[in-house]
Amino acid sequence: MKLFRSLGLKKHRNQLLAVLFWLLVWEVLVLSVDNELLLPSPASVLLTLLDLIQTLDFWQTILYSSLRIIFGCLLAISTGLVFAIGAYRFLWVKDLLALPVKIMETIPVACFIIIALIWLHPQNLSILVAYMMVLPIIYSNVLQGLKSRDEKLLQMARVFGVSTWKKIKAIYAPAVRPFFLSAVTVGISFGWKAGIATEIIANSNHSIGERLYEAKLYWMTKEQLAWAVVIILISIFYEKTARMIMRLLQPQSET
Amino acid sequence: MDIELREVTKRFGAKTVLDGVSISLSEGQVNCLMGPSGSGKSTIVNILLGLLPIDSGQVIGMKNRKIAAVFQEDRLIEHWDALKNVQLVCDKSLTKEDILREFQQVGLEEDVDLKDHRKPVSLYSGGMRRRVTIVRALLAQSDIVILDEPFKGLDDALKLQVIAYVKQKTAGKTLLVVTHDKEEAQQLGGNMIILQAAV
Repeated sequence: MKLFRSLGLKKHRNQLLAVLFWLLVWEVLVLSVDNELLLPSPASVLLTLLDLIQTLDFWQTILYSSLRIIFGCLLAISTGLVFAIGAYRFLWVKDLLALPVKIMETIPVACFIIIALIWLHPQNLSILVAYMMVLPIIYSNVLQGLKSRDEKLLQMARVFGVSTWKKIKAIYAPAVRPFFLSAVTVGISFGWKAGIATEIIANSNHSIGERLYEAKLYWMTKEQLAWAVVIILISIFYEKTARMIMRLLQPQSET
Repeated sequence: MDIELREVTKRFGAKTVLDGVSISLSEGQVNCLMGPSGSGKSTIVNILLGLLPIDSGQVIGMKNRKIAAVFQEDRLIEHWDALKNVQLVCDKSLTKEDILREFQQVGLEEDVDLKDHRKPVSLYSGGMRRRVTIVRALLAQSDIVILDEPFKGLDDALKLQVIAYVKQKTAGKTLLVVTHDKEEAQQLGGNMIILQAAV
């Protein structure tokens, strides 16, 4: 315990102990399997990862995958917002969107990828898949946020003749913000996972999915696990970045 | 032009809250609406504010009029400070200092001073919130001011101060104040409209 305190890690002591516990479990499994090809040790995966990060290809692969998937997510966030506002304002928009949103919510990612591959080039398929996976999350949450606005405050604004822009700022935005924030963080993480799955199935060029597929094909288990670690770390990074941006966008008076 | 409700009926399901009610508010004067609980005072307020449709009868003199109101509930933007709540409804020409001066007149200066005006109204006491709603209503541009039980939660000394402020700020405007309290109505002066409880 003194060690944590001296390293200034007291606050994260439990999390670090949990990570150490699971690494220990992994190590025990490695010892019982005793086959590096089936299950490499955490240390060898870490060494493989350290080798990978020294190559230009590693960073290019991450960049290409990220650009495609994040573009799909951002497109879904912006259109999801517009669709939700449209559905809140006009019932016919809500009715029109009900079926496609339901399909997007329920269709398994793999099923959608296989169907989309009939018509689309595998290279940019992850943009579409990330879009399709994130859109319903943003749409449903923002719509729910809009519906949760305080009707009495809207009546007050109507009586005083408050402008639409002020109404958005004072009444709608605070109602929508928590829904939007959780939708964006969940959506980005979900879109990232779906995007990588797409790259694996579609074998897109210069992608993390392609690297994972190659590693599987040639029984490079260490590389496979190293890429899995990279995927997890990037997912956490995007989630944290999204949270940080949302916090910055939040007016001081609401904090 | 006087404001009139002529033979107005309002039902909520099977319950008739207003049954052919007729009242008249004198233009440019203080009008106090009194009556026991359930007599339909707040229903009349909501009809005048255009928030409730009527089942039959006529509402005269409310078209194209600028209205300001204190509602039965405070209806403040909870995470905003008092200043921002007032700025939401009033003219841009009113400066921060102008508004803070108004707060001073209703005894809010200690809570809403220049240093501390960022405190959200959710942290205010009931009486303080009520005074913010009163300042908000009286600084908004309006021809008609409707106050639904505006002085609830205020102690007697403060009530006198706020009543004086309301009278000063609404001079020449049509003012409707809903109240249970005869003393409040007497202090405000003007016309008394007394509703009977619906049977």
